[in-house]
Amino acid sequence: MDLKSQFDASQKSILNLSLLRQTTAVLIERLANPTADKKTIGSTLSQLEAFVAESMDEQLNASIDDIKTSVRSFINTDQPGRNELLKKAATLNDGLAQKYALTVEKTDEIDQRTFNDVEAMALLSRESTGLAIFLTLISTVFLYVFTGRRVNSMRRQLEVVDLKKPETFSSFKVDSSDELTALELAYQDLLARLKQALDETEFERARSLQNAKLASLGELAAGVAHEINNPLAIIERSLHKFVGHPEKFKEKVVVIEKAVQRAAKIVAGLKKFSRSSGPKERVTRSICDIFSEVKILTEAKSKRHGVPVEIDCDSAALISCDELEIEQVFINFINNAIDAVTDKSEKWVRVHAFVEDREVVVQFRDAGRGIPKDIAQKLFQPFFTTKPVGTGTGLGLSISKGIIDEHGGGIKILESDPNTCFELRFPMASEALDAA
Amino acid sequence: MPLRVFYIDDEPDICQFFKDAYDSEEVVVTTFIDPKDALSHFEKGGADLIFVDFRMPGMNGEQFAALIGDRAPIVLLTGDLEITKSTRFLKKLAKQPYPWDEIESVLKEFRKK
Repeated sequence: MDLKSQFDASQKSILNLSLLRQTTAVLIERLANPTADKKTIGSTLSQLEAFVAESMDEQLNASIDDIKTSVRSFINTDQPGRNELLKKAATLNDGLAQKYALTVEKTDEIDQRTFNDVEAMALLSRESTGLAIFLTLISTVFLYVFTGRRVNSMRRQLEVVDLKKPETFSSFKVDSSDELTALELAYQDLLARLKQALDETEFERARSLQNAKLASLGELAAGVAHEINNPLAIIERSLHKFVGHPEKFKEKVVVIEKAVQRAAKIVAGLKKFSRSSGPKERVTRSICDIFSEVKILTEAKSKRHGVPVEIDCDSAALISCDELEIEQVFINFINNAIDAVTDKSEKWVRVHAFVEDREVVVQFRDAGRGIPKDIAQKLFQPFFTTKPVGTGTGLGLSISKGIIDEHGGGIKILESDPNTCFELRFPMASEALDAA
Repeated sequence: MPLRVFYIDDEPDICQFFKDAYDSEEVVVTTFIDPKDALSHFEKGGADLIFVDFRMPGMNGEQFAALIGDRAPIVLLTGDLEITKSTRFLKKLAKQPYPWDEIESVLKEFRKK
């Protein structure tokens, strides 16, 4: 039985007991009153009989039955026994008072317990709220930490991704399966599409570079034909003219050999130029060593055109490079400089190589008075040339620039210089930096 | 009297070869890699026949021929297929590689004279 039913039952008992006590009190009062006749006393009997004995203990029920019987016999007989009945009624009254007190006590108890329960529930509900808040906080912290970790992980992965280097895209991985996975997959998809786009761009770039090379090969053809013509002319006529004169022919073998080497060098240059790409070998070389070789190759031209070429070089200047390519670039700049001043009254070319701000600086300066701005802008474009058709193909500078770029270097025209000056900058070789 | 021949080409190798091949008792070959040198030489003593390359730095074969005028017969040698319109030249030789046979026939013709 729950507390509420118990409480209700107790309340009902209290009501019953009150009525019973009132009836009993009336009975006692009438019995004690000598003037009260049997009929008056008998009227209380009907009240007692109307009383339905309920939730009473057995003893009390027996007392009530006994008193009913006694009252009935008292009013129906002439026997005295009035005092005896009064005694019984008094005993019943005491019993009822006792029972009433007990029941009230019990009801209070139930009431108290109910109150306690309500209190407990209220307390429980307060505690529950606290717990709920606590759990919410915990789960929020957990979610924050978990989500934060995942988002940070994604961020870190994205930081590794270099948009210019598609090979880094694959470092972005999806390593779990939950709601964030969708986001990660979206990123991955984005990167995949970006990689494809970059690959296509790279492919197009490589193709257009190759196309430019092929186009310039066409441009080169006339010049190359002329270049190869001369050695071939020598070889052809040497064979024709001296083959019948063994002694003279022997002398001419050197000339023929030189002519063959010259033609071979041009062909090798063309081959190197036309190759789309190959293994790039990087070695650390001193700029001075490269220039000593360059000087041998450019000396003939320098003498022929009466243009002295001075080379001033710091032996500390080291670069990591494809030696032949860099040599080609330096030769190109010196040749250009010689061509630029060969018709001028003042003829000189000076090369200055030095180290500045962890960079190797190479300056090609000639007696010229700078380059007009409109020409300077176009200077590094393929096929741009100021030389007459056939003598310059306009590829020297654009190819040189390409090689310099590949070496992580830069090129500019020093506009502040009173003379014409091309300045090349290369990163200092790491070996040289370690030693410094 | 030997034939005085000038050979002008900015290629030293070709000049050297020309001299080696055609310089003899009958033909005196003088080579120049700079047409200006050839011009000053010509002003001093003249020449009987001049072979000149078209494409040279500083001055091209046609410009050189203009300065000589009709004081000497000039044969233009060129590897280029574009031919100058000038009629100043005795002959324009543009065969590839060098038109040695024609050069030799021109030399032979002048030696007879």
